[in-house]
Amino acid sequence: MGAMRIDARQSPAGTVLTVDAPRIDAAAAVAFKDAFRACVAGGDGPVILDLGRVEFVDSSGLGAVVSAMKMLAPRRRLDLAALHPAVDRVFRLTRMDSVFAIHDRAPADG
Amino acid sequence: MAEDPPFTLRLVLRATSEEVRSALGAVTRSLARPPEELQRLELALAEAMNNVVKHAYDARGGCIELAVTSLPDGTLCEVRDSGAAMPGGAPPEGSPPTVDGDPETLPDGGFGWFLIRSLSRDLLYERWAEPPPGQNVLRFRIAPAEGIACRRRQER
Repeated sequence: MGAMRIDARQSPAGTVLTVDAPRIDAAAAVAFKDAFRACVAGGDGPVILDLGRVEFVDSSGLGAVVSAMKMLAPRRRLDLAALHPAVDRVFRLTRMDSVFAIHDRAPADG
Repeated sequence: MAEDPPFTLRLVLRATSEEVRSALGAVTRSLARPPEELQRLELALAEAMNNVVKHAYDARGGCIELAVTSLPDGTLCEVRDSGAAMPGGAPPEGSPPTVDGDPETLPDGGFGWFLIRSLSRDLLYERWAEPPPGQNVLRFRIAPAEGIACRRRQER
């Protein structure tokens, strides 16, 4: 199982992490958590997870995003951005859309 | 547009999350169904097959036999494996996740059966004694998206 690439940049709204993979699924959940942990280590302030390139999330991927949020809590917030319709459905069905602030698109650079 | 004739895609795969991913790609590429229905189909099948990988075979490995049939009233799915039977002889209830309260206590797993039951219709689980060591057979249907509403809109 390969590593997952997550691109990081700073915006006025916080650190924007863009997942550079089409899927966060059972085969990728561990790689996502490892990459996320490495990206947020030692940082501060809110994190916005840009899922604009992610077309599919299953229950393992959803669990990995919840784990990512718990890595940051309680000091730092995790928001989500740019959910594809199939990804949005998973968050709505499980009512996780009430846990995360979900933005239509990732914030622009400052 | 004429109705597509019934079409069945059969796949045999090793029970690993990587092969489940490949099988899902084959299913979504092969079936001529609306994108929204394919998304529900892909998610339900992902949960059903990854449950087999994780629970029925407990990561020991084995085979999954998948059959997906495209019909006018949706897509019929059958997932078979030779792993351990469902505990209690029935699939889990899949109660909705508890998402209120402290982020610390949020569940980060256990959504699989809730999703399968939310997305599917006519769910049936059977445990067959033959061939040894026995088989799990899970069947369900993914309903078409707003079929009647779509047709009415076209008639206008």
